[in-house]
Amino acid sequence: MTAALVERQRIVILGGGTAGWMTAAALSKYLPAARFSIQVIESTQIGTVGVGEATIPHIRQFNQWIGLDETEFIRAVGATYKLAIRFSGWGEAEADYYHPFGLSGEDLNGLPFHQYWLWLRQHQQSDLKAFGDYSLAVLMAQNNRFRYPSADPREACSAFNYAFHMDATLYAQLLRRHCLARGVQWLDARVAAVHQHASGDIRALQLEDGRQLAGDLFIDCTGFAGVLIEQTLRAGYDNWQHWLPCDRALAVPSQPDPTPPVYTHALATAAGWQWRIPLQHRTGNGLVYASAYLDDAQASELLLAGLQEQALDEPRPLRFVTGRRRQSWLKNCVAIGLSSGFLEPLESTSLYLIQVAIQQLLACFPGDTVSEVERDHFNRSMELEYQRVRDFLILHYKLNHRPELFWRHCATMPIPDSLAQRLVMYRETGHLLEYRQGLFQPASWLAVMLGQGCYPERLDARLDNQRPDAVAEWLTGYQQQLQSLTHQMPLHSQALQSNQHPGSQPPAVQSLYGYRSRP
Amino acid sequence: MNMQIVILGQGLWLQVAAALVASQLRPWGVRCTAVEVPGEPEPGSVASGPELHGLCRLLGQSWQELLLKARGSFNLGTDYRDALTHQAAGAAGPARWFVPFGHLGLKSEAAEFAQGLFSYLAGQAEQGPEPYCLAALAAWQGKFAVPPANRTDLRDMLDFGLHLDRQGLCAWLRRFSERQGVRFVAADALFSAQTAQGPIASVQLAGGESLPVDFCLDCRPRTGVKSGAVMLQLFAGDPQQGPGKPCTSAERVPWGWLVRHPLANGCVWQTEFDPQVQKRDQVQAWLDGNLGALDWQLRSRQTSSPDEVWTGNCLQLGPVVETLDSPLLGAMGPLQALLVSWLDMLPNQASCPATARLFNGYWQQYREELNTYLTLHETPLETHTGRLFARLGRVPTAETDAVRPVQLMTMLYGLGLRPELPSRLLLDNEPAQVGAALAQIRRRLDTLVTNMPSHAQTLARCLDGRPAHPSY
Repeated sequence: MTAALVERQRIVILGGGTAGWMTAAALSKYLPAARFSIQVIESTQIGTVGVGEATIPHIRQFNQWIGLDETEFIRAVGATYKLAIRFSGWGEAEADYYHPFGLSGEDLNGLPFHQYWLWLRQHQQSDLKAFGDYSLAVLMAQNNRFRYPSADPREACSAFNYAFHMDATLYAQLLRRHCLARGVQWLDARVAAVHQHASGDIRALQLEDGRQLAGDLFIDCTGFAGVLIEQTLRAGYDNWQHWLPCDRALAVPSQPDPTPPVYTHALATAAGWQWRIPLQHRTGNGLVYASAYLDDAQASELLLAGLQEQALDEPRPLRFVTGRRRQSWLKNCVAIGLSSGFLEPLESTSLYLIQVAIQQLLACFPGDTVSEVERDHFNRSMELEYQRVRDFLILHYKLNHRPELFWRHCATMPIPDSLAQRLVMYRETGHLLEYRQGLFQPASWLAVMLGQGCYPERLDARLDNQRPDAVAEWLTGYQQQLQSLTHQMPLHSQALQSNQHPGSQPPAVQSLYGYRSRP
Repeated sequence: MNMQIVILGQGLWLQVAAALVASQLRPWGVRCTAVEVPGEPEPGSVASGPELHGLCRLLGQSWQELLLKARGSFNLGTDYRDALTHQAAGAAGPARWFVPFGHLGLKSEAAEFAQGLFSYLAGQAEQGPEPYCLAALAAWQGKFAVPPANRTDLRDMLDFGLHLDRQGLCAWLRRFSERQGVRFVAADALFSAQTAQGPIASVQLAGGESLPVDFCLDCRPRTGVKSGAVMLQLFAGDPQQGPGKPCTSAERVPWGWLVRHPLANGCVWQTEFDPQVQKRDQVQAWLDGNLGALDWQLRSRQTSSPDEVWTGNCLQLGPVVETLDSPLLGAMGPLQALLVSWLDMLPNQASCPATARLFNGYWQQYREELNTYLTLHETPLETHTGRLFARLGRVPTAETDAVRPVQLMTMLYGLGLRPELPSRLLLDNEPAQVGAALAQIRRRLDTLVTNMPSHAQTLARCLDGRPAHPSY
């Protein structure tokens, strides 16, 4: 037991940005002002990284959770819809596939769809289309269509979900307004020193203007700096760079796309990858790269040469060490956001990891004392989330046949045991296990594995006595039905214009894949 | 698919494995042979939870048929009584609690309902969550009605399993398997022949017959001298007692727990003790003194199991399932879970080491979750689950279906643990509002139970082959 807390619990959030304001928004929603004071210290002199321009569907649940109307959100942050990530050049230089927020195909005779697809591929069925073409979300992304999914699991349109591309800075501003209206205190200040109790718990923050801010629970949202969790408490950091070798990024905005795609684009380059995120008012672009294989000048040149629209600014550099804080909650300090770890934005998981941390913090929120029990539980849960996202990211790099030095290194580098076991099992039987806790389920793994040309050596033994023609006919009919559905949908830009009625969207669910799968 | 599966074992596990594997793989052309070997006697009953419906779905059979053929009764959960601990501790609270399969409250998706209820109860004279649990209310009042198919809310609240007569169930499963083309062979002894690469190539029966094997499911409990920790089990049938309440009963006794499974015609008692701590004579004397003269039989259960169930082309199901065959747990759940998982990832060759490794990892997780549940019956605060509940009123996210969160929470609450902290997600709710909402829920549940027929009436209808008309 540490740190006896006083009657009105004082929560101090150091750092604004998306992590700080998301935390403040959620805490102020659930913790009554009469019993809790929430203060956010943010210095306007310190820039924010602005992570999370591309999101995953869980953001809708978060917004609903804190009472943010989706229509208001879309307007305020210049959002566009997102149904998938398009991966170009991954695995092979010519490869092009989508990782959708949705399922591909449907189980047949109790066997997963991908087993049939792979089996027909082995039988060289000429009508067989790419795996993604059996996903409604992929067809919608390819045709730039959008409609809300159906919440009725019997309908084909229930097998996808959607997220947003958004301006993270505007999102932080929206949340700040939301928080201030709820009574959250905002201080524009910089921290000069951190005072601790004899137990090691943080007692107060000494501000540069001379004020001292005491608190009972401190949330560190200071990004890579980790002012409290690392500079003060020395929580330690697990460096995962040997598995995810990119260590730098450049970000630059460009003119908006008048017909914004309904997907994030991730284009593999010689020593990393380039993102393109369409917003209503601009396009977000960036290059993630490994400095051991590409210098900063070359990277800048590469990024600017790859823009589809005119740049609006100079590229902004970012250095990072991929990994995770060994303990996200230490003493009376909880790290949320980049202060608790960094995983590159390849799968748009930054805001999700913030959101999960906030949910776990609320579920484990301490009382008048902070005990090892809630700290342990929080740290265990976050460790699992980070590790499982990490493995999925490594998969993108590991599965490649590209000739460049960087990619050859990735193809031969050692990988974590947890990922190695999944890969070997998949190659053995074509099967993938579901996680109970963790974001990416078999539908996501398959999209990447098949998209990057990773096929199992053998398939489910039950397929041996099936008739390829009959199965192929079923697949053709199914795919035509999806195509027909897609072409009845409005274009993405039309949907953005017309979906302006509050409450018209389907309820948010905690699943990447829509309304058929378990959250 | 030209595959030969040989299933070795006895009694219930052999029959469950044969039926499940045959039903799932026969349509794909797999041939199954079940080799029956002699073994220890088995208790006369089987208690199952809602996983039974999964088994029925896989077999393509209805639970009504099973109930009819195995002359069983309904099972809404476990009615625990613990007068010993409470008296010893001088506790004033109830020495009785209910661990249901169905959820608390009216809606399964109601977030934080259990946490809200626990907070509310902390300020009330009444101590238990049972008045807010339809399954507990029904079970304690000896009532039950099968929820109609279109009432998913009631189905979730009254999620149920069955108690079944073991002999009747085994006979029914065997007939089912035979219809699926399973060949049954009796053998006193058998030997397996391994290939040079390691997998079992054939099983040699004592009579000289040789069965070729692509995959072997060994459902025999550990044979010969059992090493390590062993628990002894006593069980007896009692034809004098009727089905009574639609639940398993578990009462704390000086050496552990005495469990009762009601059947259509009588009941079966089971208990388990550690022979290092308790003498069988003392246990027997207590049982005779409290339950009258019954024909008690003895068998043993090894408590430690190997980490690897799947090695080469063989699943060693018996030795691992045996370790979880406690009277406090369902007899079929672990075997069913392992078989379903194996069928999901059906091997396509004699050696699938990576698949086997992941399967074994799943088993270890499943075992850990069930063992935690068993451990917290005696020493809840020695488990992470118990400590987490005592602090936050929550339980960890499970990685398998071994135990439901509601079972963990109601068990821990029943054992006397009280969450130290209220849910922070509910602080906005005024206590008066919470109290009013809970009172309303309680009235709704009371009305539902009042209108239910008795368990005996519902059971009689089902055993007569009539539809179990609900009355709500």
